[in-house]
Amino acid sequence: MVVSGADGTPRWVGLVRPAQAGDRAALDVLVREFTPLIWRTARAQGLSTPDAEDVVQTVWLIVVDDLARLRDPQSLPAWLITVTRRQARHVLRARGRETLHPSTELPDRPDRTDLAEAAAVADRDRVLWRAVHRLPERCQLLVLVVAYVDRPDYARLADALAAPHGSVGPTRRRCLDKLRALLRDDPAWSTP
Amino acid sequence: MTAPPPVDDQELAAAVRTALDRADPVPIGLDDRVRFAIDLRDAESELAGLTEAPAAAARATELTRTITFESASLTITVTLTPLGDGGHRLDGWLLPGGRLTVELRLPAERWRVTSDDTGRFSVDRVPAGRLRLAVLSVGDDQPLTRTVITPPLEL
Repeated sequence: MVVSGADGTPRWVGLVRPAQAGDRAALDVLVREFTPLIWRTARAQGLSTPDAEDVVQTVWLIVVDDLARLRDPQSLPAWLITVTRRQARHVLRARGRETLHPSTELPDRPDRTDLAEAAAVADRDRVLWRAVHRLPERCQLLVLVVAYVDRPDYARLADALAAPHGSVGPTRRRCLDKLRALLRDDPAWSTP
Repeated sequence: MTAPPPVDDQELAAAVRTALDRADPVPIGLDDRVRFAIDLRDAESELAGLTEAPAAAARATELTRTITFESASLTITVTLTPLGDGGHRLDGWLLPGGRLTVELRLPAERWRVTSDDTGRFSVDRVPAGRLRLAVLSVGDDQPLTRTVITPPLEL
């Protein structure tokens, strides 16, 4: 969602302070805005759908409890990613499988296999899904941030991605190029 | 048809988002459930008071602590055994007993464990830092009408 504030900063940045001050409507917008990022991050860690749902809720409860301590509104996406990864690892440990190599298989979507056109679309989705999941973890997270956060401040993501400060910008370019290369190399991409 | 991947970063990102959202959609109503969980958060909770100062068990090391918290509906006893690396083993006991969900609220994480039929639960290693326990009133067949939360412990 791209909705700008008056001065050109992304809208979500301006909602953090009101949410911290207890503005429930502002918090609700943040929940709507960032739940897809948290969901995607949890799924990228290899969580099942039900586990990912639980993690999304827990992450928000943690974040809401500690929201007052967030000094820099621009750091919200990085914080959400950090808490999500930590919580996902905890769930995976509890499930007895410490895997950070999630399945690259898509969930079954029997509801759309009956339409030829829809199947072609699904093929394309599958290729993109596969390519994203073939990226190293840090690249995956960066691609998700580019796709799911309206104008993020990449410099603030270094800690969340365990990347050296100052390296996130170049890493992001490399990751997107890597994704393009994976797509070009996938025969299913060029023959829909 | 052979379309090369989008050269523009934002276009590529938009294609990724569209594809992932179609292939593995965020469950419908999840953000509503999140908002509901935020509303419920501790609104229905009671605070358990500390009733017993740390007492060393006879055979335990001098640093092992046993602490009891009491609320109107529940007594929580925890024994914390230092592991030597800053972490602690936690053994807990709930009265009345029964299978209850205990949430460990760490500074940036929440872990859940379930007590056994006698109300006992344990965690092999709790990291150093602030810890609160919340015994949740979720699920059927459990005695709590409200979540019970302890004051913070510094480990």
